[in-house]
Amino acid sequence: MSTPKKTFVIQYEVNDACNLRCSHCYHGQKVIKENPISLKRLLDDISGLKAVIGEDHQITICLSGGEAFLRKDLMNLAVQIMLKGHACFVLTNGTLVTPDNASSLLVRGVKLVRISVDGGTAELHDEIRGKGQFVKTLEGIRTFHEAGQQVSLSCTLMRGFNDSPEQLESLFQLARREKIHKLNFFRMFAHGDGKEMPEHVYSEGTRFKAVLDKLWDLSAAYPDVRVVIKDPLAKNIERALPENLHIDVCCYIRKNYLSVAATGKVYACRKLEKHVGDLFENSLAEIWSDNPLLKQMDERREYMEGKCRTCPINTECKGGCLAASYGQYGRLFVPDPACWREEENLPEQELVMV
Amino acid sequence: MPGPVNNRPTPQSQPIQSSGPANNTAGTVGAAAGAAAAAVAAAAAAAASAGPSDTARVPVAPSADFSPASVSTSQTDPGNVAIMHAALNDETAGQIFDVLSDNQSNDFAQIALILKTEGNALGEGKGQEIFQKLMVGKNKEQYQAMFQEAISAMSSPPTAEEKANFIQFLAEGTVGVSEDDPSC
Repeated sequence: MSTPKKTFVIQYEVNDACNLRCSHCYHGQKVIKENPISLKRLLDDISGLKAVIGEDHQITICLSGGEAFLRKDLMNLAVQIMLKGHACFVLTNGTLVTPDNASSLLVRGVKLVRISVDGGTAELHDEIRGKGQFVKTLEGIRTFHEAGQQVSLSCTLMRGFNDSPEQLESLFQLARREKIHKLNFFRMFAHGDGKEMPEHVYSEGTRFKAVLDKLWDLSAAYPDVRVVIKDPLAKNIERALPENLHIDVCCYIRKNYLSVAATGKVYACRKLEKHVGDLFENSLAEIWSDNPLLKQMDERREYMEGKCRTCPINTECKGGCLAASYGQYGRLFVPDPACWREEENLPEQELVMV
Repeated sequence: MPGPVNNRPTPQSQPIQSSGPANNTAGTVGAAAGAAAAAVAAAAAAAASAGPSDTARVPVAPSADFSPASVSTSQTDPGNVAIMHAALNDETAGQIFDVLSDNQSNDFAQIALILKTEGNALGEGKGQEIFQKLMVGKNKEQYQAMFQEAISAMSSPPTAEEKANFIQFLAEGTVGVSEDDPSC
């Protein structure tokens, strides 16, 4: 009986071409129809990476885009990944799914897809993704389900756009109605096209904390909906977790994740607009072992500025999300703009120096 | 601290390209595999109750540049996947592997017979059920395409790792763990 392995995720952008033009997309310009770093090259690199991170890791490759279903050889990519013994899941907008390619993915060992939604209603979702896309996405969810595929949803929380209590509840209703595997929440950052929507970025803490509190309430009210909040600040909510609510391990930086963008550049976090390497110049193993920025971000507690240096929970949240700070201020290692904890409110006896 | 880039008031949708028909060709099922499958499917027809493949497709591709990944013209049958993978054991999967890798024949008739014989050991009628799924079922083209793709993608000769992973995949329907999606 083998012991459980630790998961390490490689997000591989198979392209950055997309059939949609979502107004908050972190990709910005979308022109690359096929990642110049072939999957074969990537798989060779992963072998080298495993030698560094340890053979006790199970690699999971997340195929994303752009829109992954625009790659005509997507099924073959899944087979290649299977032959290497890696798990695989797919991120998609769900609008190009057919009964054939849904079941074909399943036949090739892909047991999970994650579909992006921007609201539980057509009004919200289509505002971001274009008229008629909500219906297409719903059809995609149902097509995957009919094929026997598990479907999770991802929602990017946008301040003042889709984060009112009613709007959030519509997502829970959608998840319940469509029997969604997991409902994942992320926060929008000023990254890519998101830079042009500063009004929807969480630039102060009060609003974001209220949103998180509401997600807590809704999770309790919808116990049949599995919810995941992928945000380090969620760890700062001092409330008991409903059983169906999970706070993800986020941040993943130099923990169990690397992303290979469609340009060949390597990111420690795909939401952080600052790359840590380039596969045209280095291997994944070299980047993981030697990149100074990656190391610095891993040891961020030594570099954090402001209130994070003395915050009593800095061992938990590590200064919040570096992608949020970088998007907001153009600097790393400064407090997360959506953190609601104020330095002057910290009890004196709890202050610790990092 | 950089200021706002642009004060766009609300999220605005960009023009969406008009829809067109999806790519309707199989593309991944080779001619040899198709011929073999067709021959055996005909032989098995008397024992099978499944109807012909449904060629209906959902129009999705917005433009000629954006046609989605497509594999076959068959209809979905979610039961096929679970039944086949649940029924296979390592020995059976190994025999299938030998047929494919040793002969490079894509002989799905032989594969189906192995499954029929070995599958019956797993339960009354199971072998016949698997046989039908592979040779007659609505997902048969996808299974056959997957087999062929896997063999084509292997090294020559296949490495021990590839063989082990493929056998595990045939036996269990998956490799590794993909139940969760720990990613940003």
